[in-house]
Amino acid sequence: MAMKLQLLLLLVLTVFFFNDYLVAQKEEQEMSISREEVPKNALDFIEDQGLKGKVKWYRETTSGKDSYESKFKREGKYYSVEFDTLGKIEDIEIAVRLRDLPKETRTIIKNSLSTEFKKFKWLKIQEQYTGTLEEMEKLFTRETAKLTLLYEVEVEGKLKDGGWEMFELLISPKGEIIAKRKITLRPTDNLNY
Amino acid sequence: MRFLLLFCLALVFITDHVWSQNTRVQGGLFPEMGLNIPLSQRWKYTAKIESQHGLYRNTVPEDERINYYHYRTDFQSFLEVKLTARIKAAAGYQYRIEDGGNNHRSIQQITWLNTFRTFRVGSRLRADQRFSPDISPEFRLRYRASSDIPLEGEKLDDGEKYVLLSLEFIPAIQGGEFTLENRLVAGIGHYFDRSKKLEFTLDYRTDPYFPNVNRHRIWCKFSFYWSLKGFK
Repeated sequence: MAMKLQLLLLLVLTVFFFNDYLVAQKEEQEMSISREEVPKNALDFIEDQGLKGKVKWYRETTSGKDSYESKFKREGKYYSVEFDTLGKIEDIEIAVRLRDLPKETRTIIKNSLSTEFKKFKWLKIQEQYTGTLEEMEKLFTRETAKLTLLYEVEVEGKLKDGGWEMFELLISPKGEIIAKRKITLRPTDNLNY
Repeated sequence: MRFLLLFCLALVFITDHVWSQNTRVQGGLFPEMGLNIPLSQRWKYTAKIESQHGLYRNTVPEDERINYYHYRTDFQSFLEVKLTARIKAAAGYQYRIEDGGNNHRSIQQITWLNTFRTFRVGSRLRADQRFSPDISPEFRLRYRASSDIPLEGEKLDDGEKYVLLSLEFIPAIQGGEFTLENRLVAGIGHYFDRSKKLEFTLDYRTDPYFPNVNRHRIWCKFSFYWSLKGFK
């Protein structure tokens, strides 16, 4: 039995090291960082908003592009603010529930998704705002901001060929699909077996 | 690693002293390895070896209690089909080598995944039927909820660690007798990348039924999962 165990261990280690050479890197990488590592402009923007709760900071690399992201909860909603490496604000995302969207917007987005998928299930919706720094700041006050609004929608969709996949779509308030990318789930072998 | 082993052994001894004289306690090491081979966009083959190696049991004379013994080794084989992006069904077969008679087990399972903002929960509903030459067949219907929670950030990236938690209830019927086993697994995992994961966990099993438990098994588990690249 001891010999069998040694052989098993040897097999595991061989496979483990050999496979290192075969694996490609993931497209997106997120790492938790301390506020000291955040560009000053980005830190100033978030601190100026007078948030009460904890702000978490991340450095993100998406397809080779680096950015900084802060995540926090404000007035019961989850915010995510993205900055470039110089601390210039890129967008603000706010997680919303489907029922919180205006009925008309809901219908437009549903119709838009129906053209893409035979069936679909909602997973997550975020409002994505882009615009100038001054206008972005207005999102944290009661002032009306002149910003571009898009909806980042995660769905599980049934494709024309019958298979189901998860997707992230960027949809305009008029229902135009700006971008669509397939979400690849982390393997679930450790949860299933 | 050394700490984990010592902790595991300490837990076995503590458990042994806390419960009554009639309580059976055993524990040891539990290496396992899973290999996933994608066959197409929807179909996947999974092979798994689980091997339990005892280091302690209180069912033998006192001077023999701390001793190595092979408890059991399972060879599993599954064919899995993806029903939706998050729901999968699988059928499998297990051959078990153990003292007192090797046995066969047929397995059917359905799994689904619920994703939350910072973690995910995988559910597994599994039916299995055990057949061996000298014992009545055993039928079990089991449910397991497990989660891998990232420790560095809101999502798990390559090279990061995670906490693994899992809880399973296993009602069984054999020869007209009903039993219920509980399993609690907790530990830490390292996510190398999409193809490899390594987990160190404590696997605590109680049976035949809760709360009147009379057997405790505590295993120091080392799990390695390897997925071949192919269809995502």
